Amino acid sequence: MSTSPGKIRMILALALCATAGVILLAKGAGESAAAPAPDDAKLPDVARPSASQPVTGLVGGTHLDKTPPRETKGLDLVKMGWTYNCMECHKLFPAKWHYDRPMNEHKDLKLDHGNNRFCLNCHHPTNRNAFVDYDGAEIAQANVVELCAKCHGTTYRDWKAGVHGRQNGFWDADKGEKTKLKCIQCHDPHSPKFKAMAPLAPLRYPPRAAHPPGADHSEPAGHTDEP
Amino acid sequence: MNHDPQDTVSPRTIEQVYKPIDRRTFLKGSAVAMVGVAGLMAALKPLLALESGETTLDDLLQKHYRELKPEDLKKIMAALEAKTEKQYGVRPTIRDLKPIPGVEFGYALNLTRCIGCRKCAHACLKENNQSRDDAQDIEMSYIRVLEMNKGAINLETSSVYYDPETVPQKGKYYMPAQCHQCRQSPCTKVCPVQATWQEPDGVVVVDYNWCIGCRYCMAACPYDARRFNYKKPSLTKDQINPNQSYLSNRIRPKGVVEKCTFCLHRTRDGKYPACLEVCPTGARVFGNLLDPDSEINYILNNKRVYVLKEEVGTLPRFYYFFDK
Amino acid sequence: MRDYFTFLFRVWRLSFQGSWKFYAWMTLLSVVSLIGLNAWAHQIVDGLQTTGMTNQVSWGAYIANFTFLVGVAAAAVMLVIPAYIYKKEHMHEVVLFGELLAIAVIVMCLLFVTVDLGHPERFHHMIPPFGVFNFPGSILSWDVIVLNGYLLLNLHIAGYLLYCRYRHREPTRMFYIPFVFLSIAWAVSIHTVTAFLYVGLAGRSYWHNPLVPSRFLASAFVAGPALMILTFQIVRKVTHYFIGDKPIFTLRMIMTVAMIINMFLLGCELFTEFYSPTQHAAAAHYLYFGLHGHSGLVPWIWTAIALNTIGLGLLISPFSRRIVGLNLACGTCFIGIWTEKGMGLIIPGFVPSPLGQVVEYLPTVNETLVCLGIWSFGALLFSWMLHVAIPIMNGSLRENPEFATSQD
Repeated sequence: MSTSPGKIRMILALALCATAGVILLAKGAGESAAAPAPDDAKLPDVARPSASQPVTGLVGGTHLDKTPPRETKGLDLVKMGWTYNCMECHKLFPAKWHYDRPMNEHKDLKLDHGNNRFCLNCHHPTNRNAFVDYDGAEIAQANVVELCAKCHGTTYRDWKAGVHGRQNGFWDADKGEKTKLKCIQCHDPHSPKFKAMAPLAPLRYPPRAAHPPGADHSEPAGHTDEP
Repeated sequence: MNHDPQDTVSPRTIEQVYKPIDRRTFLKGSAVAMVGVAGLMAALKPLLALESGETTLDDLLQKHYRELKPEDLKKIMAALEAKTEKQYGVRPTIRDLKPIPGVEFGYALNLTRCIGCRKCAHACLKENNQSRDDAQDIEMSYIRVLEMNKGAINLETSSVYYDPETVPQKGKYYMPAQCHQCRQSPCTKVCPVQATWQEPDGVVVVDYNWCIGCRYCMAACPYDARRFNYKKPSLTKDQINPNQSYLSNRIRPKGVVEKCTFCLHRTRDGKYPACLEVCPTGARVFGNLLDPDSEINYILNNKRVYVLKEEVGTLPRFYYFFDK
Repeated sequence: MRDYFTFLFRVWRLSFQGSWKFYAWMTLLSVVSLIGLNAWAHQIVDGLQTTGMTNQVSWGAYIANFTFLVGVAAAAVMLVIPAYIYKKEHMHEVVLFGELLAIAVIVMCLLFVTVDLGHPERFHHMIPPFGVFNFPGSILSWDVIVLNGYLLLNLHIAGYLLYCRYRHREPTRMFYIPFVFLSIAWAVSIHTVTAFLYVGLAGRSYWHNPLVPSRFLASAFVAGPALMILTFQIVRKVTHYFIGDKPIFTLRMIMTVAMIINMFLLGCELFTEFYSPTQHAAAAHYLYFGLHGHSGLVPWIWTAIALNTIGLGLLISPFSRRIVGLNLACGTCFIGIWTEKGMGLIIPGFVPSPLGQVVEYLPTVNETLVCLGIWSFGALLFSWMLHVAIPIMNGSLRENPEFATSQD
C-alpha cells in the first residue's frame, strides 16, 4: 500500500525529467519545435482553488424531484404562449346541458368525478374558456382552485392553510417564497382520484443478517462461541 | 475453559526465581520475546491497510462540538472539506448553521394521503449524502415506509419490503417513520459521551467527530430512527450534495451513528426538508411549533393527531394525523 | 519500594517457569488471542460490516458475552460473602481465586465493550478532563464506573493479600477489610447496573421488565460458581495447593439455590409473556417459537432451557455430591446460562425491531474469532495469575527464601 504510490511517483518524476530533457533538446535543435503537449493523465494533480473548479455533485437541489404529480398539458400550453381558446370551436356548438349523442372530440375524457355527470357542471355554458360559479358567473381558468372550492370547502380551507397538497420552497416567509401546487396539478379534474404510482425501490432484508427469507433455516450456522 | 492445567512449579524452579538472570536465560527470554513481538506484528498487519489521514492527531484531540471555539470549528470544517475533496473528489461547503431563535420544528404526516411511494426515503438518501448504489444501502435512509393493514396499528404486522406494481394497494395504508425528535429523547439520555443532544430548535443531532460508536442510542430509540455506519459511505462524484453542514448531512465516517436532522442544513435556512419537497401527495407538513399561524399548528389545532408509541413517554415532535 | 520491584521481578521470572505442558497451554492461548487480535484489526479497517450486526440488531455477540461475563465477575462475591461475613474458614483458602477470576473476567468485559465500539480510539471521550462524561444520565457511564471500580477493588485486595503472603506478614485489616465489604456491594452493583442498561430502555419491551436484574443476578450466581468449581478442581489436580471439598460444596449449595430462583423467575417471565399474548410478547414469541417464518434463536433457547433444567436436576439430586456429577452439572449450567444470556437476552431485545421488522442475527466468522480471542486472552490472564499466585499462596515463594515451605 505504502510502497506503490512511491514507486509511481518515482516513475512520474523520471518521466517528467525525460520530457523536460526532450523539450530542452528540441529547443536547442530547432527553435520552431513546439513543446509537445504534456500527457494529462501522467501529470500529478495540482490543487486548484475550489472557486475555479468545475461544479460537480448535485447542484442546487436538482436531486429533489419537485415536478407536480400530474402533467397539466393545457396550462403548460398557455404558459408557452398558446392561446388555448376553447371558444374557437365551441362558438359553433352551443351549450347543451345533456348530450344525447356520442362526442366527436374529447373522447379521451372519462368523467369520474362524483355526482358531476355533465361538462357544464364545471365549464361555463357560454364562455368555455372559463369555469362556472354557483350563480353562473365566470371563474377564470387561472382561478381553478375556486371552482374546486365550490364543493370541496374543507379541502380548500386546508389548502389555503398550506396543509393540503405539497408546498415547495421556504417554510420561513422571511427567507423566501413558497410555492403551492394547484388542485389540477395533482388531480385530474375529470377523474380526481389521486392516481396510483409505482413505488421506488424497497428496503431489502439486510444481507449481512442471518437467515434471509427463503434461505435454509434448518441449521443455526457454524457458530462456535461456547466457552 | 478458563482453567489452568499448569504443571507443578517445583521447588527447583522456584529457586530459579531468586537468582539473577544468567546469559542462557536471557537469550532464551529474548528469543521468546522476539517470537511474541513477531506474532503481535503479524496479528496487527491488517492495520496497514488503514487509509492515511483517516484518523489524525487533530481528530483525536478535537473537543466536543459544544465546547469548540468558532475559529476552531471553522478550521475543522475546512479540514473536513479538504478531506471530502481528497476522498470523494468534490469540495463541499460545510457550514455550521445555528438554531434560529424562536423556532421549534414540528413535523406532521398525513396518513390519509400517504400512498407509500417511498419518494421521501429516496430523496433522503440523496439529500443526506448516503450511499445508494447497492440495493442494500437503501436501508441507510432515515425514513422507513411501513405498509400497514387497514384496521391495525400493530407495527409488528407491518412490512417494509412491499414492492407491488403500483401503490397504494387495497386494504393497506402507509406510515413513513423517521426520527421523531422527541422532547424526552431516550437516545440523548443514554449516550455515554453526550455525542448526541437536542438543539434549542428541537432537532436531535449527532457530533460525528465525537461519537464513539457504542450504538446504545440505537438500542434506546423506540422508532428505529438511527443508523450506524457499518462501512464507509460509497459515493461517486455526481452523487454528492455539496450543501452540507457539520451537524447534519456531511459525509459521515464509518463507525458512527447518524440520524434524521429534519434536514437542518435546509430548514435552518428557511427551506423545507427534502422529504417534504418531493412528497407527491403533500402528506408532509412542516413548520415552526412556536408560530401560532404555522402550518404545523394548523394541523395540531384542526386535525385528529396522534403520536406513535405515546406510551413510551417520548413526547415526539413528529405527529401523525388523519384527514378524513 | 525496592522490595516491591524485587517482588515484581520475581513474579515476572516465575511467569516463565513451568513445564512443557504449561508452555503448551500458554502458547495455545496466546496464539488464539493473536488470531482474535488479527480479526479485530480486520474489523478496525473494514468497519463493523465484518460483524453480523445490522441497523436492526445493533448489538450482538460482543455485548452478549459482555453481559454474561459481568455476571461471572460479580459471582466472585459468592466466595467473599461466606468467607468474610459468615466467617467460614474453609472459604478463605479459595477466596483469592474468586478475586483473581473477577479481575480476569472484568478485563474480558472491558475488551468486549472495546471491540464493540465503532471508534475505540475515541475512548477518551468518556474520561472527564478530555471528554464529556454523561453522568448520571447514561447508565453506560455508570457501568464504566462500576466495572473499572470493581477491577481496581479486586486488584487492590488480591494484590495486597498476595504481597503480604509473599512478605510473610499478617495483612493489616484496615487496608483490606473495608475494601472487601465495599467489593461485596460493588459486585451486586456491577451486575445490577449492567441489567439497568437494558431495563432502562422503555422502547424495548422485552427488556423493559423489572425481573431482568433479578434474573441477571440469579443466573450469574449459577454461572460464576460453576466456573469456579471447575477451576478449583484443576488447581487441585495440577498444582500443589490444597483445596478441600468444603468450599466446593458450599458453592454447590449456592448454585443450587440460585438456579432454583433463576428457573422460577424464568417461569414467571414465560407466564407473563404468554398467558395474555400482547404485542409486547412478540420478542418472546420470536425467541421461543419464531416469528413470521424467522426462528433462528429457537434452537438456542431450547438448548439453554434443556441444559439449565438438566443442570438443576443434577444439582438437586444426590448425583452431584459426587465430583463427576458436580462437574457435569457445572458444565451444563455454565453453557446453559451462557446461551440463555447471550443469544437469549440481548438478541431478542432487537427482534422484532421497534418498527416491527424481523431481522435475525448470527455472529460472523470474524466476529466469532474476536470473541474466541478475548475468551482465550481471559484464560491466559487467569492462568498466568494462578501460576503466579499459587506458589505465593502455598508458601513456596517468599521474600526471604528461607521462610519458603517446601511442597514436596
